[in-house]
Amino acid sequence: MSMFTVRQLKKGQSACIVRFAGITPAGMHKMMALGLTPGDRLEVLQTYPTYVLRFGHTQLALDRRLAQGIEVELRP
Amino acid sequence: MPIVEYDAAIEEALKKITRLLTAEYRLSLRFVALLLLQGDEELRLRVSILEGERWPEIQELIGQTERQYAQPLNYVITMYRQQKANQIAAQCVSEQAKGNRWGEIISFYTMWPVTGVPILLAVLYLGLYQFVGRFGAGVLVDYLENSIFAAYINPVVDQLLELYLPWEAVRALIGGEYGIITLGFRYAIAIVLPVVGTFFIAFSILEDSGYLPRLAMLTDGIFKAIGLNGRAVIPMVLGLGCGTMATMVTRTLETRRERLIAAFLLALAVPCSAQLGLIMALLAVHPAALGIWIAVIGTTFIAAGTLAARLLPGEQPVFYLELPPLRLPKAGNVLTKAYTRMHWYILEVLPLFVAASALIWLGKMTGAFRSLLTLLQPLMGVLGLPPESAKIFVFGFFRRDYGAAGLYDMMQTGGLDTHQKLVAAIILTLFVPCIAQFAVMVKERGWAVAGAIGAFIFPFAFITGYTVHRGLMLLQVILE
Repeated sequence: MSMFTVRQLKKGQSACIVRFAGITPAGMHKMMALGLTPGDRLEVLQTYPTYVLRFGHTQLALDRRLAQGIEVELRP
Repeated sequence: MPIVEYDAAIEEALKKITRLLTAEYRLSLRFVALLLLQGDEELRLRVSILEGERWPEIQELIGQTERQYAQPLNYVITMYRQQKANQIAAQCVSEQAKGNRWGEIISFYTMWPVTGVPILLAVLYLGLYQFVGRFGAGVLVDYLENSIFAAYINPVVDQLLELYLPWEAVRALIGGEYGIITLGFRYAIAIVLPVVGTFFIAFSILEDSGYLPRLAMLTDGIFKAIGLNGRAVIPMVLGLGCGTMATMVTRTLETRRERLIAAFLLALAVPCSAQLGLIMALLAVHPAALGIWIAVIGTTFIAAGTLAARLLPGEQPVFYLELPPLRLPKAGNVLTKAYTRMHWYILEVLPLFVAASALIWLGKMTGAFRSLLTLLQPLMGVLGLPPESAKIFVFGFFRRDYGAAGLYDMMQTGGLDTHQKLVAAIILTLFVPCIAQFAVMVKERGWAVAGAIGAFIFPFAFITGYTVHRGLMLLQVILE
């Protein structure tokens, strides 16, 4: 199964979070505090001007640098 | 029985660490141990001091546990908690597919740049210009100033002073043109209160509707260019209402660098509602001059921000923000919030206005103002402005509206042509913030930073005004 980062996903695609890579521990802590944890399924709602992700009942806006740091795999 | 149980290795470490903790923490020892494992910097420092010789052993335990996992412990612990939370939620939450269809549609359009920008402009026009600018700063201020203060309070105060206080100097401190009651209180209650009151209502509506985070995501790119991130849009929009309050709100930004850049830009290039009201009155009838004003202030904002971002060392900020669903604000909540803020504002800001009128009194009494005005008059000549305009800038520092009113008077009596109005408006916008904003800047950022910002802005405002003045002359632009 191939790995992507959220930054490589297109609008409307959904994927499962594998891990956070290249995000500072503080950044990772923030992501997890918002409820974004590995294993969660997320959907990309928008990629511009920032990324907008939906997971569970939460919508989260985040910039390209953070999107780059979330590794995901495409699972049906 | 703890609510969340972790695996054997973590539980073992928790048991051993809690046994070593002897100090008083006001938290359960298990929780202290968990935070230590999660790498909480603040607590690690405290425990290292409080536990003294036991600290190396605790550190060793933390290290041992960390080495057993491929992932950071913080991450492992969060995963267990998340699992437990999901379990609990699954038992007691049932879902119905009942979406907020309209909310989602509107949400989409506020975040799509093509429609998001026009929506933003409409919000600014209706909320800020019409409600705060026209209604608050226009109708309400007129009523309170002319029908209450000028008609009842000021004459009564002056008469009482005339009757009971034989000393002219003391009378001038309390009443008259610059007195604590006739100027300080009047300014705070008749001018500032309606403006910030309407602004707080508008801002609370925006806040409760969930629009602000969408605005932040829409503008993140622009703010990144000037060393900030989308979150800074909140103090910046507030700054269009009141720079003093917005400077206080810069606290909420994450890094010291962002707070500094935001405070600087607020002081330099974000006009507050008092300034906006004046500039609209001055320039609305001269579209070309208004256009030049917008271009000059906009360019200054972007250029100064870009430069500050380059010069100030520090990490580029990252942006992430939860987007709550769009909701229709509840009137009760909006009013309560607006009221609480006004209450707090008056408590924090009223003393500053009283202090400002005392300072003006002192300046008048000692003749310091007159010397300052004489000193500034040649500068006015260089800028192509009449010598009397010096007082606009001097008083503008103490009372924005005085600078405003002075400029307005000069316009009414035909003292200024369009070219001069434009130059004066640009300088007054960029020029040092009012004394209240400056005081908050000192409080939040310290004397050194506030002083440096002031020292940069003062010459910069006049140089920009001069550049525009000369530029228009050289290009032989005649403004209608």
